[in-house]
Formats: sequence, structure tokens, C-alpha cells
Amino acid sequence: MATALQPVERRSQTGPNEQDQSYEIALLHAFREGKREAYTELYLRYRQRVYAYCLRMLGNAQEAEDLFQEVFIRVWQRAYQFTEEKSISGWIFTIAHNLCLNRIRDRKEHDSIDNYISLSSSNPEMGEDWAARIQSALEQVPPENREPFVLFEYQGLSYQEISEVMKLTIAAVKSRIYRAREELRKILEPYYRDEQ
Amino acid sequence: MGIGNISESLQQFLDGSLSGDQEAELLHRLSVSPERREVLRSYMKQSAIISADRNAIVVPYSAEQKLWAAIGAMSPVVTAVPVTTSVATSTAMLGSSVWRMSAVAVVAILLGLSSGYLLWSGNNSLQTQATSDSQITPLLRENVGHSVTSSATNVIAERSGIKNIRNSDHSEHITRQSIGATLQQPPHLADGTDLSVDLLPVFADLQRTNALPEALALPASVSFIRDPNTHQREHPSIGGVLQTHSPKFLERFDFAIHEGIGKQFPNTAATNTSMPIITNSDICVKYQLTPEFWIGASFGTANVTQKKLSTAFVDPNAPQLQYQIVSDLVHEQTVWGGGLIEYRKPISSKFTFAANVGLAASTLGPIISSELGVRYDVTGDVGVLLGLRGSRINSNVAKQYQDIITSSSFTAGTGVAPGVTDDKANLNVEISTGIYFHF
Repeated sequence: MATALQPVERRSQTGPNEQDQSYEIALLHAFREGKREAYTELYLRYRQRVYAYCLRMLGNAQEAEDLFQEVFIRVWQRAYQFTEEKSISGWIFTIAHNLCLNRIRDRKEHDSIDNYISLSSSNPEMGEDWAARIQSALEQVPPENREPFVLFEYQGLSYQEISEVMKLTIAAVKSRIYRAREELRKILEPYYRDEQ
Repeated sequence: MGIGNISESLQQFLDGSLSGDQEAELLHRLSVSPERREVLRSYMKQSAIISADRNAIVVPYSAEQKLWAAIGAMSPVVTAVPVTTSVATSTAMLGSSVWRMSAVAVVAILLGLSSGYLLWSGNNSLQTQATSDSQITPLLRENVGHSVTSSATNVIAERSGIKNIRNSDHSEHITRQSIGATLQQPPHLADGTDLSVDLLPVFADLQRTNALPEALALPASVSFIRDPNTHQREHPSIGGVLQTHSPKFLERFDFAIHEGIGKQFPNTAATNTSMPIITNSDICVKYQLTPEFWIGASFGTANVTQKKLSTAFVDPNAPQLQYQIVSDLVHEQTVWGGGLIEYRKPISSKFTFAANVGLAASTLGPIISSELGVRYDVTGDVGVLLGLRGSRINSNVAKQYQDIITSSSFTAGTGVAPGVTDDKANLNVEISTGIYFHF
């Protein structure tokens, strides 16, 4: 039984793959030296994950696009600020995390979050409904639990990387992710039954 | 262990972070509790739908376009560290301005032609003045009637600055070395000392002043000479009076057809099989800007090797796993047009050394070329040439890369095969042959 369940474990829990990390750091160095194609490759590696993060954190396609652009422009502009104490993924998602928090903070001052549950992404296999249900369910999870969950499930960050991005202990990261999962399960469970 | 506690245990189990004993205990509890198995199924279902949702999210094309537009406007990349110019950056820059460069080449050619024309037409009077006030006449006068030694000839020739002349029928470039072969009766002084043909202007000057003994009359075949430094034709014997002649504008042009065959680098077994020999053909017009330098414009077509990027499955047997960007060397036929500058140096009466460099715009990007060769005048109007030409063209890898990743059909998560972004220039080395003619 345990063997059958193993595919769920998709990533290392101890940190990013060392080979990947050193390759990405080499890409960043190459970019600093003026090689635009190195930036392009970094972009390729992260574009989907960054956009998914923006979309699932903000729940609004237009805002997600804006944030997505802002993140990669920051990566371009601040490449020289990167220090090798962090992984590239940790660094990029710290940028995304900070920009996202600012965006959510600004949004709270001006508007209600309920107005932002609109989705542009759809999954032909899941149907439009599931994408909307997931987004709706995520909106009901408190942001402090939602973010580590999104970073873990959508961005593939390890607990260690999430702890660096959010400046939490690994135990706290795990606990928040578990809570988010449990909250989502409770919200989504009725739909599972409907599907059956 | 209630549902609340088992929830965390199940997640730890799914994360693989339970110890062996804990896992065994959990599996036992699951086996006896349908409710707990239901919770486990619920987590597994959640994991599956989250995974499907994650993979379904695609970056909108508009967002990528806006991002690259914004980044395109942000240059240089980083100012805090030394920046070296990369090949790819240069390629992108050149690729984007290829038509601008060809426009510059055309403008340069037009400027050259017009400046040459203006210089020519504006200097006629000065040339005539210089001829009539020949500074070497006194030198010869000192020697006429006496023996003209070789050393005196050399002095006069050196001061005259004339090294080549051309017969009236354009058939011969006569140098000091070839005088014996080209003039049946070389001019000589009374004591039998041969004179260099470099002294022809001097003879003409003497003839004009009726100071030239009849015995030293010039052969009929030499009706004018050309000073390569001024492009001025001097007619030494027309009615006994030296006249100057300004060649027509068209006389400064020559026209050529070139055909080159050679080899492309880099190459592979596949490219060597599909096209073991590459060709390069063009038509060309050149204009003599100064005695040694010519500018020209060419238009042609060539085979080149290009690095082409595409997407392919990492493992053809398991295409669902992942795509990657790969590259391959392929042959491409390109049409090109551009400008060149050429240096020519006569090395004998019929052979001229020529070296040129050119820049061309092509359908595959800018081409830089260079050629070393020898021109042979078959007649006064027609000649052939043989040379070694090298042409360098880039594959525009960076642009291809951008095109692929910004295409709407691009699949998220696509990897990049090693070496794909290397952008080494492609080089054609060829033996160039050709035929040329002029008025």
C-alpha cells in the first residue's frame, strides 16, 4: 500500500537538488556577465510556477499577470543582489512573496477580496468548475496557511525553502501546510462525493 | 487516535516523513477503520486535483509578451558588475538591425560614388596645371643630349610618381618591369640607353615643347598614359601637344560575376552527406574610389550551415514525460546583398592582387566576408579572377530561442538540451572564381 502511495511524494523535503541549484546559480552568474539567454533559461524554469503562485495567491488573473511581470523584472534588475546563501528558487519566491504580500495589503485597503475570485485558467480534464472550486476553497484558507500550501503544492518548494521565504521554522511550515490541507479537504469533500 | 490526529499522520504518511513503526501502526489503524480510509482517500483525491490544477495553469501569452517588451527596454542588463559582450547579445543586436545595416552599406556606396565623381570633376583644371608645369622636365632636360644613366632614370621615375601606364586600347598595364615586352621599340636616347616607360610623361612634356629628338618618338601604340595616383590620362602625342583627358564616370566601374565552391564549418556527417560542397554565387559592381581602393555592391545567393532550434521529446519512448529544446545543424539557402571595400595592387602587367572585406544582409542574418585573390586581365576589357573567400554568418540562436519560448504552442516545463544556446558562428570557406569586365 505504501508503495502505491509513493507518487504523491514529489519532492525532496531537505532542499533543492544540488545539481539543479548550482546550475541555476551558474545561470545567474552568466546573466550578470551579460548573457541574456541565461536569464531566458531561468525564466523558462520558473515562469509557470511563478504565475501559478501569483494566480492562486491573488485569485485574479489580471493581478496575477501584473505580479508575474513584476517578479521577473525584479529578478532582472536585482540579479546582482543575489547571494549564494539562498537557493535561486528561494530567492525568486521571496521576491514573489514580498510583492504578493504588498499587493494583498494594498487590496485590503481598497477593496473586498470577494471581488477577486475570477479565474482565467481552466483545465479541460477537470472542467472549469474544479479550477473555480479550488480557487474558491483557497480563498477560504487563511493567507498564513494558504501561502505555504501554495508554495509547497504549486511551486514545488521544499519545507526548508518555504521556511526561508516566510522566515518560519520548518515545523511551523509543516504545521501550516497540514492545516491548509485539512481545511481544503473539508471544503472540497462534498464535491468529491458529488463526483462519485 | 481520532480523526483530527490521524489527519496529520496521514499527511505525514503521504509526505513520507513517518518512521517505519509509525507507518506500520497507521496502516493497521487504517485497515480497521473505514472512516480513516475515507479521510485518506480524500487526501489522495485532493492531491490529484491540486496536481491537475497546477499543471493546467498556463502563463498567458499576453503576460509573456508584456514582460519581454519591458525587459527589451531594459538594457544594459546589470551595471553593478563588468559586462562582457556575448555572442548571443551581438547576434540579437545584429539580427534586429540587419536591414538598417544594409541601408548603411547602400548609403556608403552612394556617398563613395558621388564623392568620387565630385572629386574627379572638380580637379580637372588642377591636373592639367600639374601636367603643364611638370616638375621633372628640367631633370630630363639636364640629361637630354647626354647619356641618361639608369640612376637618372630612377630618379626621374621616382619623382614622377608614375609606375603604371595603360595602352590606348586598355590592353596593357605597363610597368617598368614589362616595358621591354610591351613596347616593340623602347624609347632610347642617342647613346642607346633605354629609358623606362615611367619617363613617358617626360617625353610627352618634351614633345610638347618640341624638345624631343625624333629618334625618341613614342611608339604609335602608346597614345596615352594614365597616372594611377590622379586617375588622369595623359596623351603624350596628339598633334605634338600634351593634352589631358578626364575619363568618363563609367570608366571607373567594373562588373563581375562570381561563383564559389567550398566547405562549410561546422559540419556533421549528416551535413557532409547532404551537401558535401557548398556554393556561393553573386553579381558585383565595383567603383574605383582611389587608385588602390574600390568600393562595391554585391547581390547573390549561398548555401550556409545554420543551427536550428526545435522542441522534441526528451525520451521518444515516453513522450508524456517532458519536452526539451534541441538543436541541429541544417543547410539553408540564403539570398544576400551588401557592400564591400577592396584593395588592389598591380603585381605585373596583367596580374593584380586584390583583397576585400564585405558586410551583407541576408535572409538568415548579417554576413561578414573577406576575400584574397588575383585578377588577370585577359584583354583590356575582360579579365578573370581566382580567390579564397571566407564568409561568417550567425545562427541567431538567441532569437530562435525567444521565438520558441514565446510561441503560444510552447509547453510549460520544457527543458533545454546541453549546448543548445551556444551560438558559434558558421563559416564558409570557398574557392572563388569569376569573370569581370569594364568599359
